[in-house]
Amino acid sequence: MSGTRGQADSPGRLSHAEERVLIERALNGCEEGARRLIDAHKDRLFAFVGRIIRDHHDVEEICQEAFLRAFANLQTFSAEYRFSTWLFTIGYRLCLNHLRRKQAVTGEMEFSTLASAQADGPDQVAGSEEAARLRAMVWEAVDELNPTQKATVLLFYREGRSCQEISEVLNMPTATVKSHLHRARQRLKDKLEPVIAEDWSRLDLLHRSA
Amino acid sequence: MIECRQANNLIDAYLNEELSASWTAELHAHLIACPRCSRELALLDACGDVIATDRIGPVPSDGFADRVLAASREMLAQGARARRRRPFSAWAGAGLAAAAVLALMALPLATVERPGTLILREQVSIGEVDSAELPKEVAQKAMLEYMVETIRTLQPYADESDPTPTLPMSESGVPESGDPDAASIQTPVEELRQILER
Repeated sequence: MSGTRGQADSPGRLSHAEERVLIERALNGCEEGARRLIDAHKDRLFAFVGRIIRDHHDVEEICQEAFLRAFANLQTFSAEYRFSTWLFTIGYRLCLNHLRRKQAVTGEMEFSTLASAQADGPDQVAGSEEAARLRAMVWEAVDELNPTQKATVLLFYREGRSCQEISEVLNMPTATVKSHLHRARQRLKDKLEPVIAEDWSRLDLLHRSA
Repeated sequence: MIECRQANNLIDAYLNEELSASWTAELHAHLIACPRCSRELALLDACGDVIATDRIGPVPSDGFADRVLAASREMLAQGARARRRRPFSAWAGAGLAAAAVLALMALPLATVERPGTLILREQVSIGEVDSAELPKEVAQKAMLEYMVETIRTLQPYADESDPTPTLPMSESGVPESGDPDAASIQTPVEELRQILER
């Protein structure tokens, strides 16, 4: 298999067994258990929520709410699932509610407000200016996706989730997840291909800088 | 060997890691011979690499975990205070069901006083109906449906926009519970339905 994807069990992430122990502790009122669950998931949840909605202040608020709801309903959580699956489900639904509210107030969805300042930040520039430009274009294309397609792509590539797992998070059939992934890839291809087609060797820049 | 059109149809399954070994071999053979398809796949791979590895976007500010835990403590304290203030709240559902049963007992008193609306003698409208002539069974059914709907709307967490999944979804999309006894737990609506059906 070519390409890089996040791994659900990569180093730094809690194993399923560790997660169960921490959930048990949190259920018994142990704050340290809850804190470790927060620390193990907060960065990934921020990255996920932050890409779907773009306002940093709102991201923090939504992530906090997601953890609160997860802890408040921990007794209904089934241990056969990953805690992150549940947390991302709550986070995703909160994002949708947030976007709906925003749409009701402003009348428009803010899907594509690419924060180019972020994309061009010091962490982003890796390799060369050209690589940074291409990478920014990838994120531009991602930001132009609708919230569900965006969530699908992030869960697949960044979180390393299978289509089946994504269907559990987004509560939709696996076939629909595949359809969202297909459309998202098509959009990425449509956006990048005209640029790369002039000189396909530039594709290596993306690979090398990734 | 497969053609470009077929290869394109296989690329998604290949990227999703769901392509069988034999089809993967077919695709690889095509990619070696077709620079265009090969480039397209390389482009999608490169995009996937960027999405998987770029570490951009907001990060939690200092003390995020502390704030979550503090808010969680506050929520628990509020819940405890609310429970102390409303000691009989647990009986609210049962009370509501009992009231509904009493209302049903009064059902024989229900009459149709004007076409289209079923009226109780106390002049409480319980909903629009199509026929001016209502047999007793139809009136009972209408009353039952109305009461069930009323109680359903009074239940907590009925809001569709509530983002907290009460239970994770199973493969079939049906909520599952880790609690084997959960299936036997009745909601007030189910309880009322059973009482009325008896």
